[in-house]
Amino acid sequence: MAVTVAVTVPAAARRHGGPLVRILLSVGVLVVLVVLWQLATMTWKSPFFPEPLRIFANIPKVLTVDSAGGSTSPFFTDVLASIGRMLAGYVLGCAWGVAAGSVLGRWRAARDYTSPIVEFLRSVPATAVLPIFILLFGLGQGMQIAFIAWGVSWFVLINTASGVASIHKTLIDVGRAFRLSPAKQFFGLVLPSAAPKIFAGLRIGLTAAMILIVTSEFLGATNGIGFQLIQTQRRFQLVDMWSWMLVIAILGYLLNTVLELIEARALRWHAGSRR
Amino acid sequence: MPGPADDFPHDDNLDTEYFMTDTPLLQVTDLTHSYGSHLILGGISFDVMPGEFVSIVGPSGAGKTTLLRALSGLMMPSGGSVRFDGEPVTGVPAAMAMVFQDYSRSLPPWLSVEKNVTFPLTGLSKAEARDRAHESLAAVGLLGHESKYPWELSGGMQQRVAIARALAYRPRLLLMDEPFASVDAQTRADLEDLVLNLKQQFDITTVFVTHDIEESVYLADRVLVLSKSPALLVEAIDVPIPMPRDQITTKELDEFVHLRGRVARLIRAQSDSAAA
Amino acid sequence: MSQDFALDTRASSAVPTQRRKPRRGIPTFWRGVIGVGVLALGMEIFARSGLTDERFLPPLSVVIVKLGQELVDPAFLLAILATFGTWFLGLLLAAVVAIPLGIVLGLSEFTYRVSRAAIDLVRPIPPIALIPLVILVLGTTLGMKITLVVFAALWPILFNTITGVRDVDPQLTQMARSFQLGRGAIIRRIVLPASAPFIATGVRVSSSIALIVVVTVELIAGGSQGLGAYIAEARAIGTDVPRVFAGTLMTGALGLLINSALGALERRFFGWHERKDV
Repeated sequence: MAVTVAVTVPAAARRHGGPLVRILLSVGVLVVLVVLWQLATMTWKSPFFPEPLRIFANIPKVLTVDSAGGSTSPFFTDVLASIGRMLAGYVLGCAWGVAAGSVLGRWRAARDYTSPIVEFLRSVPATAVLPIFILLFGLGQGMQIAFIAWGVSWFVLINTASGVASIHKTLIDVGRAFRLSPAKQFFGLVLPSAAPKIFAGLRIGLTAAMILIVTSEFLGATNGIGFQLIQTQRRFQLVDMWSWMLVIAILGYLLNTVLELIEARALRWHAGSRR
Repeated sequence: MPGPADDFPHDDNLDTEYFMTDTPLLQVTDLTHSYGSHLILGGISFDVMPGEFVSIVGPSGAGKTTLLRALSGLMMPSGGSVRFDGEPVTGVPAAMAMVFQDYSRSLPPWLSVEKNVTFPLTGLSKAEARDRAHESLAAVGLLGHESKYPWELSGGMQQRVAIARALAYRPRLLLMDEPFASVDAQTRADLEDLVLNLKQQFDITTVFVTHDIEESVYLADRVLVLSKSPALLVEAIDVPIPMPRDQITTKELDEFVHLRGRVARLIRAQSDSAAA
Repeated sequence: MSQDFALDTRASSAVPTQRRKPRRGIPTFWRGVIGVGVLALGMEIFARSGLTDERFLPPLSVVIVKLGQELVDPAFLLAILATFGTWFLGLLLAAVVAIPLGIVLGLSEFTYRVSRAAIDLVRPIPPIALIPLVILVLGTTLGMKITLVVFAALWPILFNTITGVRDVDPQLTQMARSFQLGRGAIIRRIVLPASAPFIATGVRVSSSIALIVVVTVELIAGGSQGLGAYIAEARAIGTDVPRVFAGTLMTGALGLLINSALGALERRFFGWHERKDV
């Protein structure tokens, strides 16, 4: 899967209106879209497209009452379980991606030897390896975590390598001219310098992790948000299905926002230093 | 052994008891360097005595930066030798600090001014490091800006931070690679005077690379003129103009005008022969 | 960022380019070959070592042989074609919709801001989450797959087109207007060429997303055609495990081919463009 590295908002867009205006605009657009959606579903009634208000109202129920009639609360058995597995895989994938990416970014030789391999392996669509992972690890949490880690690591690796490799030569000279220890050169100069690109990789990796957890739960799971989604579909519980879709979307949005907040904090200097 | 030592300035802030002043701090012998088949440095030899301020001037593209990188140990030359304090330079010597031309890239933007200055210091407690930083920042006139970030400062101020960083390191040799090439003329004049000030205050041996003829004479005790492609030492010119120097009065002196003209003619001869 | 993994470290060199140190050692190409060789050998040994069950992790040589066999099997070739075809149609449709839309939305300040807000809201919805719904509504058909691909591939192209249009130097458009060029002419002769590199990047990004969506849908939806279905079926049957690996390798090859082709095209036509982190 190709990679989008940090997207730059054109200068013109940044000038007009601060973050508050943007938030208001987003809220406004959201409201308009929902109203349109509601009107559309009320006008062209279809069993496949329940009214959004019903879907929203149904979310609390779907999180607390098991659609299959069981006694457990889906919030714990499905939502938290999925998040847990996803984060485990995500963290593993990011750790490996940053480590391997740093090595590859730092040493041209390493890049030269591994470049064809990396280019090929990361071109394999992240979900296509699911059957292989099922073969190797069976069905279950371990497989899911490994599967997610694999998929996430490629995005993080590529972006980290790009970030590490693009450190400015003068900064490298500074590290050497002042005889900094290799550790200090890496953690004090290389990593911070590469941080913007690394974070871009982390964001893409998070999106990938969401996709991968849901996909893995479509095929090989007994609980989870993806599992619930496919189950409600199979049982033709349309409103419940839509509610789960919304839960997934909201979850993705929340996690993304958290990551963006962390990134904003860690890269405070970056915004200011951009000329 | 006593000799010129009496009127030769002592390096007061040094840790060593180095009084022998007839031993050069930096000895460059027959330095050559090629990139592939391209000969950049064609055999350069000179010495730098402790406390001396030597400027190296030459036309653009002459290999001045290559020479400085070889002196600093950042690069191993193809031939010849560099000796720092009698020892051959095989890597970057510990007692050397460098100021780079691209100040905006040499100061990590995620560190405050103070953190930038203390960044290369090792073996000091936090308090000691901070004191050194304040001392150096005061010397360059930036006291009060410790918590700012480099990108909040003007170009001239950023370069002052870089100089402060080098000062705090307490080097015995300071290498400066066209440090004022990227600032405007007025700022450059201020920075030149700062360097002269620091020279008087701290007496650190300095090698200063520049393409600006006037600057090379204004700052130095000795000017080394390089030829172009391959770089050779065309002439070493002493600058016996006494301290303190001034941007206006010094540059009106006959001695200064004469020296500047001499350097300029040497440089022009390079371009002419290159064009011929 | 360039799609190339061979990263450019000289972008900020203080030493002029012509003086870059001549690379020592084995040339890059052979290094890559060595790397592949070492990995292949390692995998082969590992699979045959007895540490893992050969039924589940066949040696690389067996997989390669199986791939070779499959490549002359019409059923396999049809699967490749089906995946490629779905991908291509979906991407094309997405581009046909997104590019004009993006240009229109990007030209006006108001529409730009509104549409950006709207895109930012809809974009994060993972297309994966829509699969069950779309299967319900449209059944397991080509139309269903194309719908999903278009939905997923729309956003990067749209977003990049808008960004590209926004990024056009206003001085250029002012100059054009001073020469009395009409709106249409300005779009054709200034806006489109200037934003073309961004659009190209958007298409490249979308192409990978599209491939993932196609293969995922084929994997998940029963009774599908294409490589994803091939892999899922092979695993479900379970007796011929090398087929699973062969199929997966093929998707990688397809992905690599697509990436390389689009990357090469992009470099060929837009190599002049300074990439600004898009």
